[in-house]
Amino acid sequence: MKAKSLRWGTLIGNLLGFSFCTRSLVHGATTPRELIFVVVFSVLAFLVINGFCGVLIEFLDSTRNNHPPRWARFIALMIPRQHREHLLGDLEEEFYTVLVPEFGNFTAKLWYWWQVLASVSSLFWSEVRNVLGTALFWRITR
Amino acid sequence: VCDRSLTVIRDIYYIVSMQRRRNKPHDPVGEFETLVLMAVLRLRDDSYGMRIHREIEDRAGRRCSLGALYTTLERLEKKGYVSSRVGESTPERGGRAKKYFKLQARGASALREAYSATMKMAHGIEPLLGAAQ
Repeated sequence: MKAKSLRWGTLIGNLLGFSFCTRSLVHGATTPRELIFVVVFSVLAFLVINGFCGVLIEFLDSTRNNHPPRWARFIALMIPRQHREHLLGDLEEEFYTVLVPEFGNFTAKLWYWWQVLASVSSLFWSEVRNVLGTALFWRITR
Repeated sequence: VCDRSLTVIRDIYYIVSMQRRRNKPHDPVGEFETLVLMAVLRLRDDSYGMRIHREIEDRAGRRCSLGALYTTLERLEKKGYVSSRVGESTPERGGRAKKYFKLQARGASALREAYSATMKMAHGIEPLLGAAQ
């Protein structure tokens, strides 16, 4: 309940702040290109800052539930499909059987976040490197 | 003419590299690959992602992400050094299955070679290390 009200408060606060800033910037825009830039930038900034707020609030509320962080699970969707099931299974097993009983919810969640981000970066970049390497090879030899 | 010659060169390169790969007994293994192969060998029937990860951290003191470990295991599987099978799923894993790895003969041979090379290079190095400090 506390987290939910915090979440709504942040959302409304951000919305008001961004609409106020966007309105003043829109009035200052002189060309249509500037206008589009201001609107697109404001929407993106709103989404990013709300995402960060959501993660922060989830952390503040971490003592209440002992489940892996929802946003980390969402980011884990970037892990290639052939590894995802086994990797997430391993993480959850470690989370529930070792980390939560021994170190508590907060540390367990921090650990889960770290593992997901490190895994996503290494697996994602290895895939990107493979695709770029193949594309470059075909581009040179074609 | 240029395009065609480049295509021919590419095809020849592909055939030669495939042939060389087939003739070679095994590729050399890197440092982290050696650690992973040793962990798989040690854990025998219980070698799945998290156990291998813990074994490497506990014994070698080497920190790595699970993603990096799975990438290495996939590379070793492609080389034919390890094989994998999908195991059972448990409630604490959220119903997700484990993936077990097993060392193959090619992997054992590559590991033996890497180990013997390290041992040969390490022979008599202790006093020199002490002197260097």
